[in-house]
This record gives sequence, C-alpha cells and structure tokens, in this order.
Amino acid sequence: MTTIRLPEEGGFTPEVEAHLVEIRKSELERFGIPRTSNIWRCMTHWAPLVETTWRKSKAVRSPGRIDPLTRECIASAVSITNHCRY
Amino acid sequence: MRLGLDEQGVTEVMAAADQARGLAKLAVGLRLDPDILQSPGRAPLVPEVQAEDAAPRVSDLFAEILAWAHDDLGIDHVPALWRCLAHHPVYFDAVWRRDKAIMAEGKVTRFQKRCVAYAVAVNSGAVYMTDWYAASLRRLGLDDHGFLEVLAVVDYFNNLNTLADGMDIESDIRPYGTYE
Repeated sequence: MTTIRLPEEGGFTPEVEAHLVEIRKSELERFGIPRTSNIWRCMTHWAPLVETTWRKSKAVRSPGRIDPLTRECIASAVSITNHCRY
Repeated sequence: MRLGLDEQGVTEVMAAADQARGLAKLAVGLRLDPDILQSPGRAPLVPEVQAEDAAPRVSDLFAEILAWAHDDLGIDHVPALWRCLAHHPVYFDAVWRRDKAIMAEGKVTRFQKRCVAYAVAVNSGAVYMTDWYAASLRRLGLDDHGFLEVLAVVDYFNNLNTLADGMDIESDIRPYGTYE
C-alpha cells in the first residue's frame, strides 16, 4: 500500500506520457520490466519531477570512466545502507 | 542490478558495502581525523599504539599493514584506525583479515569494490573512510570526472530511495527478470 495513489497505465497526461515512452523503453532494455515501474508511476503526479529526474537518470548513466556494472553495484550499496527495500 | 554478476559476485558487493560501513562506524566512534592524505588535526579518542610499544603479534600485523598501505593507499605509515584497534589484538587481527579477504580481487574487481566502499563511506558521512577509499581509488587511476560519476550515483539513488520510502512504494522489480 503506497501513501499516494499510483496512476494506472494509460491514465497519464500527454506531457508525462511523452517522457514515459522513453523511460519504459529504457527500463525494458535494462531490467526487462514490461511496464512503467512503480517508482516512475509515483512521480507522474508532478510532470516536472518526471522530466528532471529522467534527465538526471540519463546523466548519471552517461558513458564515462566507470562501467554500468560498477554503477549498479554502487547504487545497490547505497540503497542497502539507506535500508531502502525498493 | 545484476548485469551478469552471479551469486558470489553479488555477495562480494554486499560484503564490500558491509565492510566499508563497519569501518566507517569505527572511524566515527574513534573520532578519527583523516590521516591518509594529511596529518590528523586532533588526537583520536583512543591513543594510537606505537610500533615500539606493540606486542610481537601486533608488530607482525603492523608490518603486514605497512606493506598494504604502501601498495593500496600510497602512504608509508600504518593508518590511525589500525593503530587504535591494536589495543585489542584479537579483534584487530580479525578485522584486518576480514578486510583483506573482502576487498581482494574476486568476481568483483578491486576497483569496483573500492567504488562501492567509497560510496558507502560518503553515504555514511564518514570523513575518515571517505579519505581512505578515495586515496585507494586515486591509486587505481580514478580521475576527477570518475569521482563525480560515483558521487552522481550516490546522489541519484538517495533521490530515488527518498521518494520510494517517502511514498512507501511497493517493489515491483523482479531480480530474476520474471514478469507475467
């Protein structure tokens, strides 16, 4: 049970949906998730949050000195130490 | 997060995170000022055991650690953390052996483990261990852009963790990739 309502697939505003098309494609490729994951659904209540978070997500993953696996290891370690189950 | 990592690899990442977190707590508890890249600004809570006062068993460990410090951190002294732990030789020995085993090359590289450990130290607000792992990563060739890449991941996942926890989002991610 979430503290806010999670909008259903198909119920997003056109502005949000435009970002979600790209996000879904990326998450399907990276994690095999066939639908909008809950973390993104929770952000859809506020379009600027989706837009700026997605922009940041891409920036964080942009090619550089450390490879994608190392980044995922760091992400996982931070989430564990923050006790974040999601 | 797996990207091809097997069970041992995932366990190694968890262990590197657990090790960095434990040492970070110790460094905070001992009120250690960083002494890896500069001189400490104040005395630690527990005095550092000096080489001349060390029991033979502790002396052997100091010699081992000195070689490690030279190779891993690029310094020629035994860091204050180890010197403080030396007051309790059995515990000191156990922590050192566990650290060596966990941070060694495995399915996950030494570099990757140090990226994880640095991120955990930063995330724990532990200045001493942040300095420690930063020195190690510099030795392994991480440049300024690379440090920002690590910090970007730390920042971004603190963003996501806060949203997920704050809104109590149920997990819908399947680690083994099975979706109906």
